[in-house]
Amino acid sequence: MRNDTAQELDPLGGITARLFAIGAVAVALVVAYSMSVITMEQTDNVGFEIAALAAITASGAFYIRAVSPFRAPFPRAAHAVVCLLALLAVVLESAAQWGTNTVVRDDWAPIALAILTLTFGSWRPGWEILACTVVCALVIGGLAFVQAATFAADVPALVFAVLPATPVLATGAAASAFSRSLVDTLLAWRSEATRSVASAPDAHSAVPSKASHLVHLDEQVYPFLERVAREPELTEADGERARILARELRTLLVIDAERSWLSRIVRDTDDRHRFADRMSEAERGYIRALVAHLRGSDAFDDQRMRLALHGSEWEATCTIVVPCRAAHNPRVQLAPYVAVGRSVFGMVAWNLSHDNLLTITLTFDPDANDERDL
Amino acid sequence: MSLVFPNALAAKTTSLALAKGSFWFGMVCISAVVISLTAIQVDRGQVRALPALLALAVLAALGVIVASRLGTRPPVIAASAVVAFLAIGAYAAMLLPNLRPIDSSDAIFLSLPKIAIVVFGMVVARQFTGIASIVVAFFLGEIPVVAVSLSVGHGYAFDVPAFSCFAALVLIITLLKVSRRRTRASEPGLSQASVDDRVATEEARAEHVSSAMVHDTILNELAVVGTVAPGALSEGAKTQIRRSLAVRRLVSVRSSDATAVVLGGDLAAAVEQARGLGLEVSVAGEVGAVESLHPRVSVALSLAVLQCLANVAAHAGTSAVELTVVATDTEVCVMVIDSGVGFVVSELHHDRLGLRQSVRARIDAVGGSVQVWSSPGAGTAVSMLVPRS
Repeated sequence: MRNDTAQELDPLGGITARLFAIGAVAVALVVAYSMSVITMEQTDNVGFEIAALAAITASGAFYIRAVSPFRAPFPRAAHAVVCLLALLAVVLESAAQWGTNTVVRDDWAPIALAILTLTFGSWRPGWEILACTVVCALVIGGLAFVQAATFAADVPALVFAVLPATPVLATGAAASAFSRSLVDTLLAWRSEATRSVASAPDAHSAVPSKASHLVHLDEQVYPFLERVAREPELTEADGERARILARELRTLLVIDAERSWLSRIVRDTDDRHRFADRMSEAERGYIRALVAHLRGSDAFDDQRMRLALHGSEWEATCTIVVPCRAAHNPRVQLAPYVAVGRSVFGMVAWNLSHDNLLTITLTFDPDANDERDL
Repeated sequence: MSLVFPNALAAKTTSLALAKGSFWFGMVCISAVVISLTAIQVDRGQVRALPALLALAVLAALGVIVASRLGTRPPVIAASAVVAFLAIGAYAAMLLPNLRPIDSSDAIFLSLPKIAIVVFGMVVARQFTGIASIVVAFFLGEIPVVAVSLSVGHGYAFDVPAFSCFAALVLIITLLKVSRRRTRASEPGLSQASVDDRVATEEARAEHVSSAMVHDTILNELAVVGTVAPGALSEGAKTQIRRSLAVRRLVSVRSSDATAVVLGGDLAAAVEQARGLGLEVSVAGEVGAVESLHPRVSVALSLAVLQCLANVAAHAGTSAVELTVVATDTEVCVMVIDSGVGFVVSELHHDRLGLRQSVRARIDAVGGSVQVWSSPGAGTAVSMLVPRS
């Protein structure tokens, strides 16, 4: 069974999906509260009915909290909690109407559960949604089956079991197929994208080098050596000049070798143990994107941005500190970057201090990447 | 590879996934009615459910057709719409006389097939994006059922579940377009960062190659000019300077091959040059395996070996050095071993560019790895492992 989820493969899609999760919770709660009022004459125990409404409300609230981009990805345990709370609402609603439920079609809890299930496709693998759906359908169908005698319609008990379970079965099957389709496409894209990067022509010859030692070579060293090769004799001054040029060239070569890719994009970078060189391609790309975003946004004072990398052989952290301008809300600005960051790094944390200093901490395993190509 | 899924593909991918989900939604709705009607047929022998079941089978078949490749052709979609219109009408005509008088056009057995038709409209929408196909599908299901219900005296009732499904699908399509623009606004920046990183990685690699090249050639020439006595420079030294200056013309190539042109790029040439420096180099092992390497790897390995031998000549305090080649099916390992003065590896100064750039960076750049073992008084061993393919 494949455990990939669409949210992990496309974190930005998860942010779009969150709007639908919020919408689904809102609709489910409107259905629950309005139908509980409309069908009040079928309710025998108001206490159970209130408890059922509390359970579906808790399920919806927990769901919205769990699908926040700042908590991505949505885990299996959260999926189970949302389903169990909604299923508890189903059981409590049945208990509230036990013996007095005349119409199975207007039971709100199975419908509310079905509405929530419809949006699970963006968060969880298809098989997991399907398994959860079958369990929910069995509970809903089983409860209706044992209450069959009280229903007004004159049909076999099996029909009462099938019809109330149909909404959750339909939405569960739809969400499962939606998840499988998205994951298949995203994996195919990843595989194709990886292949096209691997087969891209070698860029060695196309990239102009900006190293300072090259400038020194062009302006000082080459003209000197060309003159030496032309002249019939070497002077004392030539020997001295050669020693100075060698010393300068060696120093510039060392400086160029010491500069990491990170210190080239943020001048104020403290990375004395060269953890930046041990990041993966995805981690490097993410930090480039985040720094570019912080630079391009009016919300941050990028001139005072600082980066520091610390850690051990097993765990390293990259801390980005940037002042936030008072008029802006960094949470809105950061949401997509935190969501994507959580799919790239072991941990992403952010904090806005009382003096509006934004600190983003990215944790990674420096030994996880074999590539040491910088 | 990009960190995030490109926006250009996101809309189409979501549309396709929604279509697949909708197909199964519709099939479950039809299956639920089929199971229920079959249960009623089994329980009440006098009810004639078979014609209604056949009509449902036609609706399910239409779902399969519109979800298949055929469903992307306008004539097939139009024909499916006509058949769906007739099938749901026939189904309602067969079913309604068997229902209670209070059951109207919103009865659950009618509602579920209508919902199936609406969601099959969503399947069609994957091709002809927009809400038009869902609107058409909704009325395709609703009009015949209401007409039959009115004609057989069961009256009309607003079908809340069917309309809710229709409204939900319209809302999903509309919201997807609006929300995607906002939530995926960061995608271009994230994708561009991946491209920038790849370019920067290649740029850094080019700098390493250039550094190693300069270290192996120009720095040596400056050292020669800085140490010889004033007066006429030997013709041999002048020739070597001119050869090293040739690197300047080759600098745009930025590869080990450029240095190879100046220094010679095979293991035998490296050994010969080292012998020219006064070293006694003994070679052992499967030297021929080096010839099986990719030319780029072979040149990088040979130049790295040459730098190791130059280090022995300059720092080891011994003229004896062993060069051993060990090959497996996938890798070639070359070891340069001397019994000279040695050094503490962890205390190696960061400005020792020979080992850092001309050996380690070169071997890293071709996907290999370097290990150095040394201790004061016990000599030094440098192992360079490179891939064979």
